[in-house]
Amino acid sequence: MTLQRINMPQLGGESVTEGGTVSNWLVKVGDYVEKYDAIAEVMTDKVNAEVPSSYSGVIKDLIADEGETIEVGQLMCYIEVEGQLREPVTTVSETPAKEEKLDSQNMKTRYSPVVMRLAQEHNIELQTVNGTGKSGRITRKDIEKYINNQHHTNEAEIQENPTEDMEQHGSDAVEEIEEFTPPIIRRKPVKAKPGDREIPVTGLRRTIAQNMVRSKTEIPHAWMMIEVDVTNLVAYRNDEKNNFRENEGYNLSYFAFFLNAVAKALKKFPELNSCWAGDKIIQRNEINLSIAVAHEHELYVPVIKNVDEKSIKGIAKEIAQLSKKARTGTLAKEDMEDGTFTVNNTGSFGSVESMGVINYPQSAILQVESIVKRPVIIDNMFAARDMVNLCLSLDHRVLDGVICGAFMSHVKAILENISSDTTPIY
Amino acid sequence: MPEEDYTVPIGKADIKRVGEDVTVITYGLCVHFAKQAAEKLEQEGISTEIVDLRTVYPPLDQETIKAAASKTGKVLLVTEDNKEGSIIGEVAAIISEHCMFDLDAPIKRLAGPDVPAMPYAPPLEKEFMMNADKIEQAIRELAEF
Repeated sequence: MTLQRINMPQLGGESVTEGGTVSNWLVKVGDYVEKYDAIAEVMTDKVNAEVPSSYSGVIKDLIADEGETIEVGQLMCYIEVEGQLREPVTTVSETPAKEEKLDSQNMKTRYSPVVMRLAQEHNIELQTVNGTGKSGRITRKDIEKYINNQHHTNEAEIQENPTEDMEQHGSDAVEEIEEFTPPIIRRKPVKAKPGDREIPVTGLRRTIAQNMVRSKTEIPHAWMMIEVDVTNLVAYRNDEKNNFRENEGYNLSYFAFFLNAVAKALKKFPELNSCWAGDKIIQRNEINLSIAVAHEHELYVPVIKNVDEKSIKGIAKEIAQLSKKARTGTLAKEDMEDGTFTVNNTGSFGSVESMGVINYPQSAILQVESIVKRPVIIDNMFAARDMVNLCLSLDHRVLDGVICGAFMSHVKAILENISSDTTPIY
Repeated sequence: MPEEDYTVPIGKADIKRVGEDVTVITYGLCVHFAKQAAEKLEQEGISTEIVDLRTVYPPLDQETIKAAASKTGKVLLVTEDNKEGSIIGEVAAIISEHCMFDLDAPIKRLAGPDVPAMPYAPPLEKEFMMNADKIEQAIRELAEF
């Protein structure tokens, strides 16, 4: 019998040391696993994967917690392997480390009376306090320090308000403004009532949640909507679609035309093809459009690269391929990387107006809504036209209304002038 | 030593050193050992409070004992006596009776071994006797706990 470690394997192709988050343990301590059996589900920021066991044996100790992100090569768990000691040296040196780890886990949640009392008096969740005592134990000093820090934060918040007032009154206020740190608000516990169903948040759902919170809390979103008359596009596409389907074997979707128009407009307004990098704005050279593809309860954002260099046919082909991959769950990490701007086909589920959340760290997202036949006045006469709303969410740090307005007008102009002359399919 | 006449009050303990991390409560010769240890440990960033009981029976200065123990929550009691039945057991009882919710570590006793008398052989005598090193080690362990 010998203890072996199973480390975080390298997932995905080119990324070197990017770690993964353990979303689910598929085994528990004491389980027997065969070599290559899946022991855990691991998620990088885009891909779900299963980690195979490197040995046959009995799982001894799960070191990584669910939800914990660990680097490539770091310890995930220990497995007791039957048979000969093949690497006795490693085994011997690893055993004490394991004991120490166990020990530290034990002491971290072992609280002394004074720590319990202070936590109760100041309403502190002890899991959030960093322990510096023996084996990670939280000491009286740790908790006092934590309480002091909380007070400082509160004082800073109180002091911030008068400064703002002075500036609004335009008086000779001091120029120096403290950096704004949003107050920490604790989430109220939500309890399930009898009969409610509780669904644990794991895997991709958790990643989506984190990305959304990050985007909405960091990026100041602004919104804009224009309506576009796509009667010409609808007629053109209806003329071509049957032929196209017969020749190519996949659909000629409206979405391909929209992507084409957006790519052209981004070429003209590269400001929207950029991202905020703190002290600078990075304008991307490549136009790689992320497209949102929903599958069951999951949302994938695969990327079509260099859309400006592709024909309508080329774009339609990639849309068909990526959707198929999403439906069969075979999207690779490379399929979802390096997006510079997102176009979301919200019209596919009948929406006519929506406010997208920007795909972090991009600076804008365009929602293409349903094409709806509506009465429109042209030359003082009613006409039945195919109308579509385009909704843009923009990062107001990077972009302003004027530039986005110009961008949207340009997209509108391209779409309204689509015909076999201006936009060949091949 | 003061130049003029002076008296030491009965039943009143004396705080010999003010500190934040560990409280040492002791009396007699061990007060001096504790001071030496505390000085050394100060350089490591460990701050020690030292209480000299001065009166051991009766009465113990309960108020000072309670205040000093509650202050740091980590208490080291030192005596030259055998561990079982010594006065520091009584001090420990006072603290656990009154200061339960201020304790951050088990109350620790540092004392002579439980043997009948002081050994005659010098190495054994040395082993029995309290010294600054033993106190220093015990304070450090408590500070790190």
